[in-house]
Formats: sequence, C-alpha cells, structure tokens
Amino acid sequence: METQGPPMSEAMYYVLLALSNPLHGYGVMDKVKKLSNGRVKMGPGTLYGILKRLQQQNFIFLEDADGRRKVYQMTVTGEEALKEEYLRLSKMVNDGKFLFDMGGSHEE
Amino acid sequence: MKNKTKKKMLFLDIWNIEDQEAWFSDMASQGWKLHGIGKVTATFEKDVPKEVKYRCDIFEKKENKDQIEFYHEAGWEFVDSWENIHIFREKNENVDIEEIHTDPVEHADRLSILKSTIKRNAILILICSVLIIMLNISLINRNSLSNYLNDSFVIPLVVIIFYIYIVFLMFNGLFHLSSRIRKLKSGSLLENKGNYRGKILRRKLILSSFLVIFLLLISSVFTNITHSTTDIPNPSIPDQELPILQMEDYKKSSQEYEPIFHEFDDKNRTNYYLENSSILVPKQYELQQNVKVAGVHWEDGVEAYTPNLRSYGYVIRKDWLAKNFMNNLLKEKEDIYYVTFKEEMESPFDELWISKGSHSTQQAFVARLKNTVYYVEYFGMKDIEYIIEQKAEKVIN
Repeated sequence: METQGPPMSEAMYYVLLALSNPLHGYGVMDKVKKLSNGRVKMGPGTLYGILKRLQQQNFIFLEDADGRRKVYQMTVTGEEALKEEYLRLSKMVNDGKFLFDMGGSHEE
Repeated sequence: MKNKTKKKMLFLDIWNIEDQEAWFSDMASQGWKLHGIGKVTATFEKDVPKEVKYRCDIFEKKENKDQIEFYHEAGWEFVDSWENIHIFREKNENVDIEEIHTDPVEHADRLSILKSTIKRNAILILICSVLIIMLNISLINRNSLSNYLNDSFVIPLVVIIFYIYIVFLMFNGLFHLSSRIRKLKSGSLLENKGNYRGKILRRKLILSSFLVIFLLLISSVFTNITHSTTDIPNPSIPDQELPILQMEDYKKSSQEYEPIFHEFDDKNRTNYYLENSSILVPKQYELQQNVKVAGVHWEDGVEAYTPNLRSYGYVIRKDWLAKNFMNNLLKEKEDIYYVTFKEEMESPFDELWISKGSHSTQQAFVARLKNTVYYVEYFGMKDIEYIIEQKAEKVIN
C-alpha cells in the first residue's frame, strides 16, 4: 500500500501516457497532441522541463536506442504512478457521475 | 558573399527578456536578422524584412545541446546565448508552432534560475558599489577646502551618482523579474509584448550624458594640470582698491612701501593679486604683499622692516556653506601651522577667530560676514586687532 505524493499535473499525466511506447523528445510532443485530440498543447520548453522532472522522479529514463537519437522510456515506477493517477482520476469522474451522467453511454 | 552586418549596443537590460524579444522582432521586420550576441552588443545581418517571433529561454549551459536540438525539431531555431539566456527564433515564420513555454508554472521555474543568477551578481555589484561610493565619499570629505575652491567634489560626486544608478538598475531588474515570476505562478502566461522604445532612448540619454560629463571633467582636469605647470607669473597687484584687505588700508600715508621681488622667483610669488571662481565659491580673491618700509627697522633695530600680508576673500553661495567652509579653513590652518584660533565674541563680523601665532609678529584671523569669509595672515609689528579694525571698516561700510 503505497501512497503517492501530490497528484500529477495534467502535462505530466499526458507525457506518461504518451510514453506507453518509447519515444524521442519531439515524438512525445506530437503524441500528446494526438492523444488529447489537440487539446493539450505543449511547447518544447515546457516538455523538456517535464521530462527532466520525470527523470528525477525515476518515472522515465533515457536510452540510446538508434545510435544518435535518444529515446525516453517509462520505468516500472512510472507505470505504477500512471496507473495510480488514472485510478484517482476515474474515481473523481465516478464521484461526479450522479450529477452529470444521466444514463449516458460511457465506457470504462 | 558576405552579408552586410551592423552592431548595436545592448541598451536594454538583458534579463528583461520580453523587451529583448520585442526588439529583435522589430529589427527583423526592418530587415535586420539577429546574428549573434556579445557581452554588450548584438550583431544583425541584412535580410529581407520579415515578421519573426523571437524567444529567450533560460537553462543551464551544460544541458544545452540536447535541448537546443529538441527545440529545433519543434520549430525554434537557436541563435545565440548570453550566459544562461538562450535566444531562439521561428524557423519558418509561416508555420504555426507552439510557444516554447505553454505552462506558466514551468516557465516561472525557468525564470527563477535567471533570478538567482542576477541576485548573485547584484550582491557582488552592490558590495563593489558600496565600496566605491564610500571611497568617493571619503575623498570628498578629505578635500574639504578643495571641494569649495577647486570643485574637486564634482568627479567623486558623479562617480557616486553613476554607481547609485547601476545599483538602481540591478534592483529594478530583480523586481521586474520577480513580478513576472509571480504572474506566471498565479497561472497566467506572459503576453510576450515588450515595450522597449522609450526605454532605449532613456537609457541612451542617461548613459551618454554620463559619458559627456566624464569626458568634460577629465578634459578639465587635464587643462588644469597643463595650466598649473606652465610658467605664467602671477599677475601683479593692480593700482586700485581691492575687495579684500591690503596694506594700503592700514599703512600711514607718510610711510613709503617698496615691494620686494626675489631674483629667481619667475612665478612672482611675493607681490601678486589673483581672482578665481568655482561652483561653490564664485568669487575668490588672493593677495600677497611683501614690502620693505623705508627708514623703519624691526624691533631689534638692525634689520630693515619687511612686513608681509596675505589676504584672502571668498564669496560663497550660501551662508550655511560659508559657515562650513570657515570651519574647514580654520581646521586646515591649525593643522598646517600648529596654531590655535580663538573665537572673538565681540566683533562687527558674524564670526571672528584670531590666532596670535607662535611669534608675536606672526598673526592671523578668519572672519565671516554672512556668506563671505576673509582670511588674513600678517607678519609685522602692528597688532592684529588694529588690522581687524581696518578690515571691518573696509568691508562693513
């Protein structure tokens, strides 16, 4: 039973989602945009800062994959943290269902 | 083919990144593409006029390469760095790209790096400035009389004002940066709208006026030096009534005074009259008389009687300055001649200080009447009180 620290920021959450497959820096930017249907836009400065922080938290690591270009990958800790955040967010959505979800057809 | 380039001074604070960005963009729209940035200048290259966005970002130099490549992929081309500040511009001005920073809190963290760098520098500059200012204050204090007579307070004063200005700029920058960081932390992004036009002009004006003042002062110092080394003899005493005490004011009309001139005294240091002026003392008079009185001997009855008078008058801008000047004058004369001046309470002057000197024949007095200070040194057989009386009669009536 591990309790994580403060909840993740939106940006961090999406970056981790994007890194379900290893990606290089710019790839992350693109993937985040696609995953959120263009809603979450991330500039290179912001993304770079988040990647640095995720590395420090040991959620992701850098790997020299195809020689020159470096690729980011999620660690096991990162996966756990992402899952925990996902559960937390769905719980929050669930808790609000009684008010907004009038028998709609939502998937889990 | 080499493009035409031009260099421009960095008149804006380098840490005011919004102003810098706006300036670079404006230069680009005038057809000048930023090429590089030096310690105090920016180099621009002639190009077709374009509307280009410029952005400054802050990060440690060691992460440089990775990050720059990353930004490049995202559409931001690296131009140059100034310490931790890195300048980027849009690679292609027609494609819509993301801002470098889309998260205000993240951006605030970046600016905090800059703030701590500036803080470190600011403390260093503050310490240096305080030392320089203190040194110059002590210079002003030390040259107390020279401040009045030769304007020697001006250069230290300008230096002090200059350093106060530098410190002000530094702290102004810090406050500006802090307010930006606060804004970002509260969740709103920067508007990327620098308003720098007035600032460049103001900075140019202030800095160039400092430069002009410095040059003027330095040239005046040089002319003073060359002036004082040239061998122009002191002007001789004019044959008219002077505004300060002279021998003619107290000598008996029957006595015959013959001025003494020394043979090798090419500058005429024995009998002369000078007028001068300075900022605080617009009128300065200086008289020296050395004479031989025909048929009179010193008290020993052997040597010919050769009285000597040095008489000075200073008209000072304000009464309170005159008081201060007089105190400095007294102190300096006491220090130089090892004498003490005693205040004479009953006198027609506002203040009167008398020194009987070490010999009974060597006497001096300092008198102040409103904003005018007189100083007289007398070497002769008359009582100083008698001379003061003549002096009072001359200046009060």
